[in-house]
Amino acid sequence: MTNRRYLRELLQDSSFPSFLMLVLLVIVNAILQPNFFSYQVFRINFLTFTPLILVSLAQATVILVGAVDLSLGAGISLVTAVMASLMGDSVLSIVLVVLLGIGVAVFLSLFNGFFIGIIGPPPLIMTFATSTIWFGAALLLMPHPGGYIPETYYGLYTASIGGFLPTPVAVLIVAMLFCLLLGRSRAFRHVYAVGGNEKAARASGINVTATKIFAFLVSGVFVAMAALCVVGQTATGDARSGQGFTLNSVAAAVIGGIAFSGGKGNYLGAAMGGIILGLLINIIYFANITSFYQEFMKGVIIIVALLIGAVPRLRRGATRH
Amino acid sequence: MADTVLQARHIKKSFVGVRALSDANFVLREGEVCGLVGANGSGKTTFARVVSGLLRPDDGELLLYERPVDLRSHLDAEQYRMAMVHQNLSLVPEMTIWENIALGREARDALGLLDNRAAAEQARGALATIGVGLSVHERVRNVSPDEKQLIEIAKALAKDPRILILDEPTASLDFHQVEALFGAVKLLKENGVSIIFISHRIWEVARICDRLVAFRNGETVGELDFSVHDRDERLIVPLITGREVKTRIRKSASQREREIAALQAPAPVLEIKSLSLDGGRLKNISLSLRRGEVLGLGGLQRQGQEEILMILAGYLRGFSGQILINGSPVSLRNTRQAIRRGIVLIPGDRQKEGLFLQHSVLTNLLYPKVSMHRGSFFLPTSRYRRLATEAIDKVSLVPPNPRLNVSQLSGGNQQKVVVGKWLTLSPTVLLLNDPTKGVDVGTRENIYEIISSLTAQGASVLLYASDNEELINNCDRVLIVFEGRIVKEIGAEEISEEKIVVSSLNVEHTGEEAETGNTR
Amino acid sequence: MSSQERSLLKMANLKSLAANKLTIAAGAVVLLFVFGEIISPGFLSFGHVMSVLRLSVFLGIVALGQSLVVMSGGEGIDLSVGSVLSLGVVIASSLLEGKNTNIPVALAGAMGAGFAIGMVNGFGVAYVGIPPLIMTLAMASVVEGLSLIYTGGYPSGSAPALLESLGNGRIVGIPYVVLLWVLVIVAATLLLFRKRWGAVLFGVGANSITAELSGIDVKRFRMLVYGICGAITGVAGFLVLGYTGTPYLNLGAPYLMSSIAAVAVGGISLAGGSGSYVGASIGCILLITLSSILVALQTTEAVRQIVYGSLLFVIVVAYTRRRAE
Repeated sequence: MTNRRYLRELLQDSSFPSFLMLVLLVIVNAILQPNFFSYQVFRINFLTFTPLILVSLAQATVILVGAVDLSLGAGISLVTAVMASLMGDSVLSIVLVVLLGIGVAVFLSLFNGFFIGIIGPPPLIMTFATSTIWFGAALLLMPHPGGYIPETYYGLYTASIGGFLPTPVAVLIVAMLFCLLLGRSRAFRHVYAVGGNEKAARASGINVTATKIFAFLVSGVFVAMAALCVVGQTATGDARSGQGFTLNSVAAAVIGGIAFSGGKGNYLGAAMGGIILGLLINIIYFANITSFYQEFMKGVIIIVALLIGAVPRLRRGATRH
Repeated sequence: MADTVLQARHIKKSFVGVRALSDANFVLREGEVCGLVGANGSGKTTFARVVSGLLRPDDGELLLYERPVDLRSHLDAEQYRMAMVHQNLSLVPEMTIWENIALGREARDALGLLDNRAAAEQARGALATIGVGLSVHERVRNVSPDEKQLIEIAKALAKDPRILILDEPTASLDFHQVEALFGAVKLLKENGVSIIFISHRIWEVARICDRLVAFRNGETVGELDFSVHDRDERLIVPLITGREVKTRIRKSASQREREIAALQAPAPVLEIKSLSLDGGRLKNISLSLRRGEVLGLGGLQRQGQEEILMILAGYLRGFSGQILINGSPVSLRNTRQAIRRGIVLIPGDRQKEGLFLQHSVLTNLLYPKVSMHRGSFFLPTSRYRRLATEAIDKVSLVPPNPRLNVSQLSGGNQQKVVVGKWLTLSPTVLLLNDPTKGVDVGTRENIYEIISSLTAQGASVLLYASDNEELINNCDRVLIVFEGRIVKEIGAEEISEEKIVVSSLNVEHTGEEAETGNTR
Repeated sequence: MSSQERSLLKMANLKSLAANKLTIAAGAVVLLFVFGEIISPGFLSFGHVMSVLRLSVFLGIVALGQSLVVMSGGEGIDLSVGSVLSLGVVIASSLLEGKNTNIPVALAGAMGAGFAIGMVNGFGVAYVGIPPLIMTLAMASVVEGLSLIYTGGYPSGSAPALLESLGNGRIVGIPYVVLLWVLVIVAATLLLFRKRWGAVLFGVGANSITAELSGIDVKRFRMLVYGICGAITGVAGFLVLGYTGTPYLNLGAPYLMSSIAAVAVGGISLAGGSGSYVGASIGCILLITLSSILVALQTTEAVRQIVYGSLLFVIVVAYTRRRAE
């Protein structure tokens, strides 16, 4: 590819607007929060942001294949409830329960994936139904927030590996490596095809059902990682802990350039979208906006972010009605 | 005699209550191009889908390379090195050309990861064979419909097939691109590839095929071997329609002139002055359309013909210039204003732009009328139903059932609905964007008969056709558009294929200083 | 008629299988009521049935707005109806201040606020091209904030006697609001199937390009549909206030997902272009009846959620018809 084409592709990349927004937000945050670039603040920010970034990656995968998953938040809640009710102090117990938690997260996503892939109900309603079921199950296990998570576990999450790399960042690095690997896999290329034009994908010999299930499987992996982080961060099981994640993950993915119709966008954008949302919440807090205005501002800012993201698309279709 | 690569014997296929194929027979020999012709609903598309593995026959035998096979999917067919070219059904818009060509057969390296470089190389080769001058890194959504069709063909070729099925491959192509395609076909023949060429464009079939097979009502009704017979359409059409060729009594140019003159009013019904579109897609277009006239827009693809129609329909903005109706300037800022003045558009893509596939014939036929309805509190349903029945009658819809869902109609009948729905509004100017693309001979005749009767009553027609035959057979005048400008006006007496082709290439003006640049 | 045409017609009649979705849903309602009577005698009594119906009315009105938005196509959905209803409640109550004379102003206020918010939604969706799920989702946050800002955290005012009696009163045992709902259902059905606006809506939802080429300003039409949905939701808030008497924050939260569920259960395609409000209404009754049964069974919230979700899951899966390749 020529250099000019490289530049054009870069500027037209779906994640470019979110990159600009990210830079802007970092600047604003730095102004409002005095020690923004200090190690401590960096660490605390990533402690909070990481679960949202991971869930955004999960949601991005599902949107890429042409669906949406409104049960991600409830799924996380359920996993935290399971883990907090079973984990004990011994290392064996921790390891086993972690494995169980991962298994549950993946199972929940696969459940959605199987039905959406094989039978084909509208994902919106389908995942809303399952989110209600997961929420109920979580409530059953943990009617009130509680349970037990040993210090060994949450201490590990809040610690820094080798003294300088916060665990959440390490988790993100693992996630990003996973993304890179996916990007070179055939199954993931098929995800883009199925999301982009399902009929065309089928006509090209792609197994659409298997691809959809694959997308949900990948999503489940990211959800598992997110749940492990949430448990490490809150050290409790809470049936409502996941509530904010669902809708935030959709907003983060779209702000990050994932087209809602499917087949367009990339993980980098989705991750940036997650960070953007985190920084937004930060700004609202640090700007001393009264709690009444916080929800309001969050909504307004998301809409503005979406407007900014929509500009390139608008400019392209200017003469059409 | 060459080997038989494909043989179909007494194939039967039915869908819910519909007998699509009752007795289909077909033979294809190595290195030959065999045409497959038939009206919409004759079963040839179903047959193609059976042969390519997309459908399984209810009965009958299919042999590949002289061995009986049972194809369960089109992937099975690909195992036998058979590829079918779809009509724009297998491209993902957001992906690049090379990604699309490699789709489903992605090259992998030693680690099992995608080998993008190899895939891109292969794509480049496939495109070169067809003569498409695009970069393989271009995204398909930026590519025009005719180029998309060529990419579909390239995609099939990249599979290196021994048997190739082309289903309406030239539907959106202009003669330039058709030539390139025919060149590729000849090359494939020389390499021993066998080709089934399905098309409504009979003159092309007569040109490129060695033999042809005709279907009617689900069975094979005849064959023509061009090593024996003449390449004459008049031999082919009766096989398709089952009737004698009814040469439409084409009026002489002078008779048309007299008819049009008789209808004239002081000002032409439609006039365009200095029309220019943002981005240079149209530059200073001027034309005038008289009452009762059929004015053709010809030329190569994508030279601005479609844009002219869309602007007149009120669907495009961002233009400058004047539009006059009956001598007075009008503003056509939206489709409603255009329709109110009797200007209606029959769009280029009936499924995407012309129909509500989930609704009934009745709903579709009445929508423009309903849209323009004013006055009564409730819709006058019985009066409207009568209008719909009249429209069904006027276009000879088959079957003439208003409650039928349009998705169950054949392509030709769907197009009749698209035309018919405007008849309820008694239009004064009809804008036609390639109205008979992918439509069979019988329906084509139907549509042009309707147009004739409308012009006889004083309506005017602006017709864009990618197929020159159509322009020659139906227009009183033809304007050739080149790079957004009108470069030639061809009057009735001098309309000919040669004249159109030469003007379309704008060769007469190569010496002139042309304002070239990005016209796309 | 040839045999081919006859079979094609048979296929067309199978299309009225969609009407069967309504019969299935209606049948399910009847079954639920019978079940309810078995586990809690008196469930099927006239008074109780009317109570269940009364509860369904408020959801039903919200579902009307939601139905119109979904039918308008383009993946239309309105996730802000919950917060708009809440806003309608607090605006209405603060304008009413418990006085009958303020009823017109309060109604106008709730409706107007809802309409304005809906138009913002509609503008974002139709003119800017933001996917409806996300646009209305973001607006939900904005509106939630607006409620807080407007009330300062303490909703004021109350419903006057007239409104309360509308919300709670009955005539010959039938609640006033149920009668009102019947009128609404009739009016909505007439609008959808006998008036130009309804026919236009179905076209816009089925294929916006075809509709545009037939003379419809699709963007303006879709924006207006969202505006109307907002207005209707505001009115719903006004009525809910009549039922509760005093305002609370976030009164509208449970209505959001129920309205979407009701639309789906009622057989309205989420892709747009078809459906009927009668279906959504039956869906509302079904959902409220189910909730009622679960309450009568004295189940915990956990069990209620699981049952609710499972039922919705089963219905959604059952309604999906896999189209043959």
